[in-house]
Amino acid sequence: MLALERLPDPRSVAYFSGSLVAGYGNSWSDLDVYVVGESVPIGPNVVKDRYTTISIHYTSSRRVDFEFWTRAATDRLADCLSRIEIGAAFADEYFSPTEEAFIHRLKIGFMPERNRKGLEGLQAKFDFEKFRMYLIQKSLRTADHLVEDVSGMIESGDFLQAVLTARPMIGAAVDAYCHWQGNTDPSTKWRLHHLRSVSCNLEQSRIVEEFLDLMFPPQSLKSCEPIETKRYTDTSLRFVNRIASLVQQ
Amino acid sequence: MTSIYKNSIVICDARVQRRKYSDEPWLILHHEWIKLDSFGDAIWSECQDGKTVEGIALSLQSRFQIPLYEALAATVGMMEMLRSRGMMQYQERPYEETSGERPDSP
Repeated sequence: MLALERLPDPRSVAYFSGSLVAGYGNSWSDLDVYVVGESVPIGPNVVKDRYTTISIHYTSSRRVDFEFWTRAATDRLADCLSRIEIGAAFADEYFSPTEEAFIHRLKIGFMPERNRKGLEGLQAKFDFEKFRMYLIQKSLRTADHLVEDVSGMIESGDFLQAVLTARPMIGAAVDAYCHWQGNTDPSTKWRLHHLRSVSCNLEQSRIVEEFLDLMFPPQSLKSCEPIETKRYTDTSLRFVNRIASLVQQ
Repeated sequence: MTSIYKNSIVICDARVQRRKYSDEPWLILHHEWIKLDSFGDAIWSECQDGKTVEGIALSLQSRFQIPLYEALAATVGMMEMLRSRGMMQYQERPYEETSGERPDSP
């Protein structure tokens, strides 16, 4: 697989990552290969991004994305992470989604034993625990914005919108919980898998059940009956509050 | 003058969120932010569980090892402040006048 881009190359560190490495992928998932260093793509399909250059290959069974990063770009990320102050009330967003994905995927990156030294050296530059704290803070902030939105919608009688907005609010709280439990994947598409993977005891399993109950509210909410809608949004708000207290204890 | 029954159940407004910033707990309701001390934070935490005023004061007494009258004063003071700001209300369940017995907890 690495030979598609004439890897390994002594000028770079290459490693596998993404949903397949994390164990969530399926037969439609692409394989992500990260290349950090001076190597340049040689494939026929190259997309230049703001942060990285991606070379896309289609094999018979799977798409393979090679993401090329310079050392300067990754050093800048590591430096930015080291300077973040956790716990501020009005924290800024420090990374783009691509950069967050890079940091997480570096953390879970995989290489066979004989080529692992370069990967470990790169991983050592990043404070992954701080990244986890950053993700908790960011998810909670997202939930907080949505708490305001849901509360305002209910107050103004915009009931159906409140129900729909409550769902991403609950999702953001669950993300914070998963990060608190150790998950550092910033992507939300595997939220249920993340939640299940960190739910080992009865209390944690109850959170999974509550999450699913809130994600699938009764059909009757579509009729926007005020009392029932408020009951749903109040339950959702209390759920968010409980998760926040848990992760900030 | 307002009477507060010790077996009144405390109902918090679901919109009030407790958050920690720089290790300090806050209660937030829209534009209103209230900084909590350790008593206040403990009382808010107890309020979340749908306890009675008496139950909260007893928990506070046990947790901070303080006399009951102090725990009760702190609890009622905090409750009244929260109530005046629309952050909570009481669901009053006075004793039965005839028997003087407490109704069962919910």
